[in-house]
Amino acid sequence: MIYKLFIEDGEFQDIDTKEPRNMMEAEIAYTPDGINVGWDEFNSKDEAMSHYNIQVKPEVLNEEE
Amino acid sequence: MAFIIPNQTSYVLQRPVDPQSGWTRQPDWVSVVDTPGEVQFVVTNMGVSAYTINTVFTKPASQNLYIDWGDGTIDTVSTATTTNTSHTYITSGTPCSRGYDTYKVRVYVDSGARITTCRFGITPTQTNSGYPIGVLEAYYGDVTVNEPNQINFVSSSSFFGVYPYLEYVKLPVTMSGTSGFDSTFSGCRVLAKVEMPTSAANITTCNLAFQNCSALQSIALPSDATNITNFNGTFSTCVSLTGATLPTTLNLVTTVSSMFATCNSLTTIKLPPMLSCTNYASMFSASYSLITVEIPSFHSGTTTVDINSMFINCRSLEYVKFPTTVTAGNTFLANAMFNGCSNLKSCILPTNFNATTMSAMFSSCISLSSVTLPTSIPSLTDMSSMFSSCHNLQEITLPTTIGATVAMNSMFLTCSALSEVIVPSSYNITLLQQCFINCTNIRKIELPNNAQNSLTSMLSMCSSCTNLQSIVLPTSLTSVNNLSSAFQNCNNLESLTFPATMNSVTTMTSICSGCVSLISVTLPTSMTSLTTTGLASAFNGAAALKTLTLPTTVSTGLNSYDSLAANSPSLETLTLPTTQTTAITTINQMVNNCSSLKTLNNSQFIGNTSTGSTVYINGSNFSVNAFEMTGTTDFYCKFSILQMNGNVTTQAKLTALRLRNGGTGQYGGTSPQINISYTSLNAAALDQVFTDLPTIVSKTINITGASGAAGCTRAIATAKGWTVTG
Repeated sequence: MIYKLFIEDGEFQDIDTKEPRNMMEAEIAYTPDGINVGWDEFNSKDEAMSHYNIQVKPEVLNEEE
Repeated sequence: MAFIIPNQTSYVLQRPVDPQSGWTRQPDWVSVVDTPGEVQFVVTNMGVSAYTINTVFTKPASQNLYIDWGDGTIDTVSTATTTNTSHTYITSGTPCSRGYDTYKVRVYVDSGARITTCRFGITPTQTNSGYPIGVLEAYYGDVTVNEPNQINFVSSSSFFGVYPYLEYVKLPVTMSGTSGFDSTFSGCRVLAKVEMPTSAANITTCNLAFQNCSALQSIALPSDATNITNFNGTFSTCVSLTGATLPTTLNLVTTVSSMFATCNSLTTIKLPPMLSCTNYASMFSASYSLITVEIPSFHSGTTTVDINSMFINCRSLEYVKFPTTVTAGNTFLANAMFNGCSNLKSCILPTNFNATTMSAMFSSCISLSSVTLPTSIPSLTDMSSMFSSCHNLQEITLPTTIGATVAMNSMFLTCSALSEVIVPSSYNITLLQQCFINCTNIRKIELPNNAQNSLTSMLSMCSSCTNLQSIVLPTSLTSVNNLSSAFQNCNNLESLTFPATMNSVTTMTSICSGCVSLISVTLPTSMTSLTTTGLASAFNGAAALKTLTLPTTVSTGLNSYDSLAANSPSLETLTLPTTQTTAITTINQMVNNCSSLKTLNNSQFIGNTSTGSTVYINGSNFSVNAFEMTGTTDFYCKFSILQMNGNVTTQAKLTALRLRNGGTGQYGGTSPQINISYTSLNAAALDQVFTDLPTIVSKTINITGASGAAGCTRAIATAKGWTVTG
């Protein structure tokens, strides 16, 4: 799967700064610059989160519970 | 000999009091025989290091007053006017097994003279007015005291310090003074026994007389003390008091406010007639052991009688015997009268009982099952919280006649056993918010169709009435503006019809949210007064609702359809107003999880259609999992985000989508800005969406799992700067 980190409000936050983050997951992304350009491939969502140094926001976790 | 000077925080604990044992004189105290004409004190070497006695006496010829300090010292006072005589003990007295010495102090006069004032103070050099004075007992013989206040053991007195050790007082046989008995023993916390005069006809006021006498178990006022007018707080916080003998009539009393407040050992009392009393406020408040009270009469005239909080928090109270009738013309203030009387099971009010306010009168009477109210309470205007938290109240018959208007907010809040309420037709209600909230057993409510000209709020009126099956909203409710949460979580409510003319509504947020049985709802024909968010979550979770039609005309200021009908899995048709609601800015979760929704009528009327508009609608989770929605969904507004997707297990039936506003500035929301994944949009339909997109860089549209994903022309979108995922 491919992933892309967005510096915008979403379900995630930076582990260190707690600033909001968003991340998309897709099998393929057709971008204006070509297929998957600007996207990163990881084996799992967790691996992508680790790479981007992000975690799920506590309030999102609470909603899921 | 060194005096024992206890620290200020512990001296009151010198003699623990067992309220069950009664008071017995300590056998190894110095002996005292009450003697006519003498005042005697038993003092101890605890407390102050030196004593002062303040005296006044009548002094014919050359006669004197003598103070025998009990250690061989006798002082002579020859001045009849106020005199302070001080003494410091330097020798041991009579030892007591409690660890201190006692001394007998005698104050007496020559034959023919008469003591009028004799009281302890502290020496002038010890100016700390809070210093404890070691008086254990006081005997006033047969001395006639002209001024009751001259016998004064007020612990907060600015001159006389405190009396933490005073256990026993025998007052003069006759107290002939004319003024008050106010605060005489206030704060004498170990005072266990007071022998009252046999005659005290001239006492007129007992304000706080025994306040905080926490060891006092009983008291008997003289039978002729019938001229007392003020019993304000007289026995308040006498936590050991089990009984009080009062004169058989107290017809000059005007106030008994807090008279027995926090008398935690008092179990029963019969009040004498008090035909002039106008203030019973908090009379027995927080007297936790009080079980029965008999009130033979109330005021005999025409006046206002304050019985506010009279029995508040008397948690053992079972029965109050009222007079069968009260004088016509008396009007009571009965706020919180029985508030917190958790053991009160029934109450019968006198037939002529009239009150202006009964707010919280029975609030938190959790055992109350029966209340008999008069059929007419003609001055009543406030019934707010009157029965709130009466968990055992199953039925109530309301007076048929009350005041011109009445507030009923929170009146039955959390009456969880109440099954039915019929509000008489004569009632003109001003407030109804939270009136029936959490009445989980109530099945039927009838509201009057009288002129409700002042009724504006029904906020949370029936919220969580989980068994409510029917309610008729009368046509007179035209002035109501707040319906927020009015029927929230009414799990058994199947239908609801609002009067067509109920067009003053400004907010109905969450009005029927969680009404899982609601099948039909008919809204007013016009809702032009709605505030900006006045419809938010209005039918969120109305699981049985199949059709929802908003009025054709709604407020032009309405800006939100957030969660309007979200989580309503039976909803098949939602019809929006046909008037242009240009102010709409957010449709978050509007029909989210409406898995049966087939038709969304008038989507083209959402928001501003101008390409030059700067309003960008937030459509997060707008119709996510609205699997059955088919046909063309047309939008003419601008978006910041729009999510209409199905999910990986269930594809939504959406077959056509038009985003006709190609204006600039759109899609500033979070990624993906458009989510139409797992929909039935075929290649041509997807290409139409791509064609509708404005040119804008770094935006994302997700078509994962869409029917036409394999054959659509993504280049239409990417050429405009978009990324297409899936």
